[in-house]
Amino acid sequence: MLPVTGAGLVLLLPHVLAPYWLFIANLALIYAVAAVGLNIILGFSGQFSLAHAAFYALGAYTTALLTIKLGAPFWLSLPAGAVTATVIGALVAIPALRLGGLFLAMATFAFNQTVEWILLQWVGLTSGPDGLPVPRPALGAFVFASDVSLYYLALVVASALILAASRITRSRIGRTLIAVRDSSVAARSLGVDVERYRIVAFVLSAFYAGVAGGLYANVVLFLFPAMSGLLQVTLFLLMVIIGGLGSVAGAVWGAVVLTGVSEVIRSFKALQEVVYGVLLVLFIVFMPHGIGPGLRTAVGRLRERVRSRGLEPWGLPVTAGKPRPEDPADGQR
Amino acid sequence: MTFFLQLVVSGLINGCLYALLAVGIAMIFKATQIVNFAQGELFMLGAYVHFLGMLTALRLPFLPALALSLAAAAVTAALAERLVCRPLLGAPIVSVVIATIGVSFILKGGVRLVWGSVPLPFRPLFETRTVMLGGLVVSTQGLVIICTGLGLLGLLYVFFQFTKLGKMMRATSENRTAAVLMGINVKRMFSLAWALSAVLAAVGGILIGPLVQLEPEMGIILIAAFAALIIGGGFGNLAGAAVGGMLLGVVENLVSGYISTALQSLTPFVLIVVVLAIRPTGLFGRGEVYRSHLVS
Amino acid sequence: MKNRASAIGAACLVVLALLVGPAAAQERTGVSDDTILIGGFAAMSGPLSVYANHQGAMMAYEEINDKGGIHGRKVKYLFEDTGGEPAKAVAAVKKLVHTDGVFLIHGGGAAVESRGVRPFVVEAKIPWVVLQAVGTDLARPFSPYVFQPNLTQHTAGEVAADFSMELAKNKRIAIVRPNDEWGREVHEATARRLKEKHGVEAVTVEYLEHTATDATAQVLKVKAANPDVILVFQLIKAASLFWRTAYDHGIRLPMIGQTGAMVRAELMRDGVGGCAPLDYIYTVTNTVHTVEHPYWAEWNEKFKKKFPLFAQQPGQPASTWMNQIGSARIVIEGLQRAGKDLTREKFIAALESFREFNNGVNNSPSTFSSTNHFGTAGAQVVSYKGCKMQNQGKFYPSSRPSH
Repeated sequence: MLPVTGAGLVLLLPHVLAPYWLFIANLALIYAVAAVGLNIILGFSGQFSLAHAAFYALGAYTTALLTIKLGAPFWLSLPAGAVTATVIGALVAIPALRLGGLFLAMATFAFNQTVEWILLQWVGLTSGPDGLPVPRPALGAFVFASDVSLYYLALVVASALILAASRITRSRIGRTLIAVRDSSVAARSLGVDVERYRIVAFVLSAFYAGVAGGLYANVVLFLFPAMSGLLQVTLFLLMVIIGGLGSVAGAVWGAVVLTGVSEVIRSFKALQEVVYGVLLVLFIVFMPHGIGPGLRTAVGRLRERVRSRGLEPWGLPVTAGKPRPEDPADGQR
Repeated sequence: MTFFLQLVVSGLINGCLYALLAVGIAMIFKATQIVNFAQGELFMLGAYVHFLGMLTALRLPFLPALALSLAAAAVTAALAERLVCRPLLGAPIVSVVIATIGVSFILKGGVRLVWGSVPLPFRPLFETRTVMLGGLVVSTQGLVIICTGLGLLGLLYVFFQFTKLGKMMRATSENRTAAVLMGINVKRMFSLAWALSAVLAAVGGILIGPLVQLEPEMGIILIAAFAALIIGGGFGNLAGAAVGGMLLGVVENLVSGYISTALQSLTPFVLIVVVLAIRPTGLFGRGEVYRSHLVS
Repeated sequence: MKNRASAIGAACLVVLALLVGPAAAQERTGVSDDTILIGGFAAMSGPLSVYANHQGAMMAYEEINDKGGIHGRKVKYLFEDTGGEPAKAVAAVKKLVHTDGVFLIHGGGAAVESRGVRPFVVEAKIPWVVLQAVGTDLARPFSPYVFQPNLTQHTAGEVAADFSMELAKNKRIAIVRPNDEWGREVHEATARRLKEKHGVEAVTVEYLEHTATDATAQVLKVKAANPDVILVFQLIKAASLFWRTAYDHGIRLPMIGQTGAMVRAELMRDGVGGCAPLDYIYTVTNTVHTVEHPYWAEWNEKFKKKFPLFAQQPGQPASTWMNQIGSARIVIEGLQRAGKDLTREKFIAALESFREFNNGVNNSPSTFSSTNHFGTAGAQVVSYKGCKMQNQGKFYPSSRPSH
């Protein structure tokens, strides 16, 4: 009953929201796809890859250019953009296998910057630093002219991908990824092809980034080389961290919360950088494992207190001990 | 030949700045296993406090302004360590990284709020603009940068090799538990590492101040420092960081001199990719490629 | 547990939806009996916020309000931050248009964010007068709703080209530019003008990024190309770095800069390290009076009173907010001409009736027509000899960009 109500409400959302907030909701859906994808490689497979922004930009530019130069309809250009990102993701994944930890982070960051540089320089194709305006997506004669139709488009794609992600992460692949993350040696000794699973994670996350990029092109209708830059990947990282590493639902909530918060603090104007920074620091200091575990710990603590009050009507101090924060290595469970 | 040498010398000047930042990041990483993304903002803060202390609000002479700036940077860093990073001991490294990014937003936004975004130039500290060194033109400030940079790095080496405090810091980074057992106040070592590396960053900011204009965004130099670290051999390799910084400065200039100036901004990234393709642990790295605790 | 969590989530969304207001956006004009709502946007935070002062426009609207407003209506200027990101800029514009219901938009700091919002402004059929961005592309292709009154990179490039040919005896021009849309546009305009009008091609083009800390390679390569004049299309920071390094390497050639955020001479002096290098520097300007001219004294006082915190910042007053006053006066004049029964169509028609309108701030009078919405066609040149900012006086006409 309740999930049905929830789904109904999400479906009705565009008819309740003001146009401005509807646009924000569209952005949140796009970012949710990107964040879920980043969480696959970062949270589930434990590879600190920052190449997500590059795949996002590649997906976006491919989708847009196919539409602009070849007149491809979006049902073709969006998957084509995602496939491009995926293929390039596979190509990057193979040399990346040799690297671990911060070396991987830096190498993939360098990859981001290189993609940004190419997008800047290849003026003939990408229109370079000017940025690339994108026409509105169309399905046959039907043009997605309003944010409401775009919302449903993004909603369908995003929910399919989010559901798929939660399926994958609960499947054998997901469990193996976690095993490889927690101890590649142990996984290898059990006969797991560690390299293959690392590549799978890379490719999957690149696919998600590519789809998110393609959606962005169709919703914001303007692309720019800095999409493959430091700020963009920082934003995705924030979403994953705020939502909690290794949790599909967490990444979605991280994207929704962060997109919402950055709009809410808009009115702080020049102050907002400081406010944003303070919120971020406070959040991570108090919920280092993300919203879900953080709230659960807080609720648990509260319950403990209430329960202990109930048991000790005289208000005697109860030494229940600190509830332990949940181990993030467990993923969702 | 003059062309080549000229490029090398000016590359070394830039390289000194990269090295100062990179060594600072390496120090923090060695002590606390944290990659400080706010190091570029400490560099920026140092420059702002120094020059505005000198020129606007307080009209301090050079040395007191220097002291003020170094103190401000050190205190800021120590506070960041105490308030943000220490509560996160044992949290996933990615979370800590994000927390330091939060600190960098606060510092950048704060400076922008107080001093605005307009780039601020500062009068050179020396009357003579340039000196001739065997046919090469070197700006006086550049010479000061090379001398101060190399001098500081040398001092740091002496500090870590020969002083008791330096040895205590090294012991802490080698084995935290053993250090505690030996009676070392590990927490104080953490604060010290942060403060010291903030001083290095602030010196870098003060040195570059008269050459480029101050901007809240000047912390972007951090990217070059990261490149220097990777090239040099990892985040915990101090000597590698210093050499990597110098190398990056020189290669950047040679690329833009001999190939194209359009490639200057891409050089650090190409260098990272090339170095990692040849040696996945950096030029002077000693293994430890995988760090499993990174994410979990 | 899971279901309950998602239900709570959905409930939160609904509450949020109810809080943020009804969707039924009725047609709003932004004009009431006593107010006109004008919306603005620019980066007030983030890396691009250096161009983001809305103070100039704010003061110009305040001035007209103090005089009793426009046809009895006071201007209310709502300003949104974009952080310099296209997506946030689009959100800002949607907020201004749909939530606040503004009559017109007078905003746009950096080009990248402004390009991103263009399709949405055009779709919403709201008049947009560009506040500060200098891109020609903002008004391309032609839209009846978009007006670009500022000194565009197109015009600045042509003026720099014409002026450089007065100084270049051997017609050898070198160009230094950053690798972004700002640099590309001015470079292309200059190259075109040099070729078509003067039959000259640049002897070398070098790239210098805004964040550079060293310009030795660029200076040495420019020097090796042996030019007569160097066009330094850079914002003040990288420009100063280049000027200083060039002087140190013995280059004593005229160097022509871009309008951008050129600042007061004492800051220029500190930026290049003394007065001597300034003798060789010129910049293209679109204001009649330089920042230091007594004309601005009264505005400076107003600025200090209205934005005391901001005025204390070093480098203020910057020339950026002075340009905004000119741009706001164009909006005000348009509103005046549109008459008492204000509609968006009348406002657009009023702007299109501008023929050589002098706003008192800019040296190129504004002209719009129903087929061309680029207001500026020409500029002047400022020299800095002896550490004194001096408008050279001569006006260099440029072609008007086509849509």
